[in-house]
Amino acid sequence: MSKEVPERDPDAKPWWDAVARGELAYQRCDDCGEVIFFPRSACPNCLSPRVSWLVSAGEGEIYSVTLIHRAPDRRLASEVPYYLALVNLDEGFRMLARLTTPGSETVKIGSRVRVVFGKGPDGESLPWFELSGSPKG
Amino acid sequence: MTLYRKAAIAGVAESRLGIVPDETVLMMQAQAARDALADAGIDKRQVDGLFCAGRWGRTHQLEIAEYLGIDPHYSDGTLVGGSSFLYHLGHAAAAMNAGLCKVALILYGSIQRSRRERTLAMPDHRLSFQYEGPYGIPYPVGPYALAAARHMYQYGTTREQLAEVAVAARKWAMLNPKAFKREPLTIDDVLASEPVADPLHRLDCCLITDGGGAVVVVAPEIARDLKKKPVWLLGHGEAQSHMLISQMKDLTVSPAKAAGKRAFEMAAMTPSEIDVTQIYDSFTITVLLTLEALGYCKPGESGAFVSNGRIAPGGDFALNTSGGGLSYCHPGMFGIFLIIEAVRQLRGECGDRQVAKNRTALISGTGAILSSNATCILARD
Repeated sequence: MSKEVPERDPDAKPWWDAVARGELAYQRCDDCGEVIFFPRSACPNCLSPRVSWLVSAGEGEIYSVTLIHRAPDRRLASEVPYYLALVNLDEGFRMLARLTTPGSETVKIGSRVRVVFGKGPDGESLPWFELSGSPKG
Repeated sequence: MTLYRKAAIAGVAESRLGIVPDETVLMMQAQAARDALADAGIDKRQVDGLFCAGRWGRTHQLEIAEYLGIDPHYSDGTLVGGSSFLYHLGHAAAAMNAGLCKVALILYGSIQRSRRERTLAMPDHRLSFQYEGPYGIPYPVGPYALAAARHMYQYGTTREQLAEVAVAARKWAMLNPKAFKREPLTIDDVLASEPVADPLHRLDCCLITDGGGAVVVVAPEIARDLKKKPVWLLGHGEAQSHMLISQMKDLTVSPAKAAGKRAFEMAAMTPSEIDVTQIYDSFTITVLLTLEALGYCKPGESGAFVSNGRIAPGGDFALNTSGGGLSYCHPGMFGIFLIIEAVRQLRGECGDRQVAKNRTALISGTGAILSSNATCILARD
């Protein structure tokens, strides 16, 4: 395994285990209701240690997007250009992810997307997103 | 508490800049420290404060103090990206206000270009970074590209407007003999340069050079007896907002907004009272976001603000007069050079690029991926 493989530390392991099951997990604070992503042992709003895991429906919209022409990792060099997007999930959290290569549709801010499971540079499963319809409104 | 006139900048110097394969980071910082102390007319034995940051080691303060043979009573290695040195300036003033030191050195050096250390990879994929690193986001340009894309979407900002920042920087650099890039540059050149992460192309990105610098900060009682007129710190503010780009609430609002507000309040000044402005130009978009955040223009209006040569030599807004990170130098962390250029402008030492109105200056440093900002307001008597 290369050193690039993310550490499955105690904060992160449940999230990666969910990814391996094909689920996009996130957290919510039992005390204040804060929606939490990335996974943490303490709520970033009230510092409560009582945070629960939930599974996202995986639907959201693109908050911003860039087409990458220069990969930071040799193993991704053959894949350029590729899209990276910040996705606002409907449950109220935001994450960075790859988009699958679109067909004839245009990738735009506001485009609706849904989670699919793609691969990271080490072959590990990673949540990606694909276009799922036209922009809201 | 206020830091208003609690410290002054007494001396500034660069190390050799550009491509410096025959020096170490310690050699560079020793030369810059010697030149800055000479500029201040202060003996090295008076130095009792040390502020430094870099990417070259783990124990910068210990290694530099040992190499230079100084004995800091107070030291600070705040590391929040390229803005760190503006944090250091505020922290030095706070330490002086508390009586903890009287003569401080702020230092930086890097030979990242000669050693080919710079890559587009995130430093590592551990802890929080494991949620973004594996996606192959080039760093730090990818997050800035996402901010630029969002600004264009929200406000109709154009690539031509971004390019204005790079072209103006180049025009200033052509007036600066120390600048790394001095050949003419047009908006079309910027638009036609190769894409890195849309909408940012290569010429929207700062340089990769070697280089370093030193700044001497002194307490008011020392400032009175300098050979050159002191440059006073009137206001300082700092703010941080996120480390992962997914955690930045609004990609169009830089932490310069909070930091700038604190700095202006401390100085009891407004943007219209600033004569010379130095804004960290890691990428062209950084300048647009910072101009809005500091209140020089309204949100969304920065593209129009910089257009038609307004920020170039001869324009009515003196910005990044050294040529900035885009054309003068960018040895990994640029913040210290914002301080150096502002001091030289306030002293009237800038030769062909000297601006006529030069009583007050603002410097605003952004670090990491729009993650941190410190803004300082400076003035001469």
